[in-house]
Amino acid sequence: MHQMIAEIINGFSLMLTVGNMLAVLLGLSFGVVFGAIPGLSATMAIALVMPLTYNMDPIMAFAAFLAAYKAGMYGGSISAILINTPGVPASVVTTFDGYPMAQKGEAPRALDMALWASVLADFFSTLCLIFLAVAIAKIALKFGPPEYASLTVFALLIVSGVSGSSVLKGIITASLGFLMATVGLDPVVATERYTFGMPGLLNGIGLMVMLIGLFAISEILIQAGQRANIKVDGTMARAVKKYSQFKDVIFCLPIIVKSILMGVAIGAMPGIGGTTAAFVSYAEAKRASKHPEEFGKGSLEGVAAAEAGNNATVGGALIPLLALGIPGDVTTAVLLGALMIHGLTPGPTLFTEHSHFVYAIFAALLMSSFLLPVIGKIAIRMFGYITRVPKSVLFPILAVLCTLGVFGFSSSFDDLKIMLFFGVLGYFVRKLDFPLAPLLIGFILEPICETSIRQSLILSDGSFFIFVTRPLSAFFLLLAVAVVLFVAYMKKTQKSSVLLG
Amino acid sequence: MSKDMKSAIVLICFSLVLFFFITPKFVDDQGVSGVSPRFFPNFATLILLICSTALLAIDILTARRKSHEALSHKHNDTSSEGVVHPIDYMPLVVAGILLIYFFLFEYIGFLWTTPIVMALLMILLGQRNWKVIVASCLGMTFLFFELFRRGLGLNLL
Repeated sequence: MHQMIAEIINGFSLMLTVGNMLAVLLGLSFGVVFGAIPGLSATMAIALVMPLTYNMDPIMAFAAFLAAYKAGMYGGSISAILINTPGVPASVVTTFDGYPMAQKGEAPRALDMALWASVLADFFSTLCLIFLAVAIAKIALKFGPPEYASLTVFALLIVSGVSGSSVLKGIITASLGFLMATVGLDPVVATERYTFGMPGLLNGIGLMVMLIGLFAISEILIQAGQRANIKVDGTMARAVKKYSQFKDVIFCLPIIVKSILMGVAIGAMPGIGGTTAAFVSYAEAKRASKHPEEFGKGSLEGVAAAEAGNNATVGGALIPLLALGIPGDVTTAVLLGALMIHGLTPGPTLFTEHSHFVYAIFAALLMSSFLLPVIGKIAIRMFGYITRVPKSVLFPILAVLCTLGVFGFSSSFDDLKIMLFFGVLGYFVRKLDFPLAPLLIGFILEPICETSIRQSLILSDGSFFIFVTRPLSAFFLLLAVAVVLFVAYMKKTQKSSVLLG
Repeated sequence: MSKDMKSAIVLICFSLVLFFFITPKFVDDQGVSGVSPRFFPNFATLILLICSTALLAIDILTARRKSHEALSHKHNDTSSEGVVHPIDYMPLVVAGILLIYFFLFEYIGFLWTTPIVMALLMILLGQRNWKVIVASCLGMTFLFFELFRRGLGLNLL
């Protein structure tokens, strides 16, 4: 414990430089803006900024990424409250009560509650991350290749199972991601796989190229199909009644605390994410409320529960990422890619080999929780201006930014064409109602999974029984099968009830 | 034909072509401890094939059940399943413009091609105010040019 406190203090001393503070502030600003504009997301913000950070110190780069991740989740609530359009999917529950409050002239009150619930959730989920990630990483150090192989299969199956409307579609996109990751040199015998004689593919498909294509380019193509402009009604942001932020927070504190605990637990499970956490927290807040009839008509408690629930998943989702190297959602998958690009291997060894980095980013997370209210308050005032930028101007600019981002990273024109290929693939995947997250997570986990399985088979002289004879490995596999069967059953039951009306 | 059916047929064809033609030609078959470099690509292809076939089967069964229910309830409504939606070509046009942009970027350079492509995309996305188009295209092109040239040392000419 004393050692951990000393490490955290050391982390703060590494973080407290002008450059790092500026990185946190820029990350927060970028995250809030991208989170607040419907169609953009913190994931896209991180993917676009990643090429610019290649030559940066990893601590500075990650301070910006993590600040953007947190702020992006909060930013979604601004448009949810003001224009009834969630900036990020996890903010959909905030619209239930946030928008009715705005219609009653209580938009500033709802926005302030969303901000403080998000800040408290961020802060406490970061504390959970610090204590739990360190403990889990210590256990994970004892994992061998079979345990890692089973853990990656577990994560892959869970993410495939819970993403989207169909387990089958999740597994299909995960398999596609898995296939894409096999392009390049074989990790054991170094023979070529699907390189088609192109030297540019010998090192495989670049993660950054894939990320920007799948998320940013596909979004531009989707927007091209919609050609919609969203503008905010500026009059909504003005207060009608006076209120006390402090009294509101104290009144909602029990709900916020409960939602944080649920959010952290849900966030730590791969693939479930902020939207589910917001729904679960909201349902629990409504059940426990003295005025459940106000929910859906402009309840302050509803806004607090939804925002605390979805923001608490941020700290929770970082636990498996940092402690085990397993991403639970799309944004943590992008962060995992960013760690790899900066030459860091996520997982338990990160805590032993780069402990200064881990504690510095813990400090960055705490610092961004303290700075979020400042940026959040400015963002609330600025949002009217931000949303006045028409999408017809915004998306062409983003297209050029994507091009420069990919070109700036590799100086390869072939990569631009590969990015476009992934953009078109992402467009069709989304248009055909297939989930995108398993594709990316399959792509990221394939090298870990393949290497672990092949190492395990070398250890067992080619016997696959090694995965079921090692207790922890067998446990992960059984758990994966059980969860997927359960999710498939639940989805089938939900569909039947919908069909039956 | 439903979306799922179309996707399943495309995926089945893709996995069969991959398994029988592409993988044998472009992936070697020599490995250690019984696992060759082809093992994982083939494994993923088989999962893809099995799941796509299952998706197709489920879609056919669901469509059949729905049509039986519709017949038994004497519904005249054929539902949206059979409705052919017009294809939106705009995303493909934008993708085509981006592809041309990448070629022009390679041979002519960033500074000359970007404002034209940006303006074209803005018009396609519905922007009609020429002052906004000119100001944002020229302004953003020069801003990005300077940012990436000075920041990352990129040769964009």
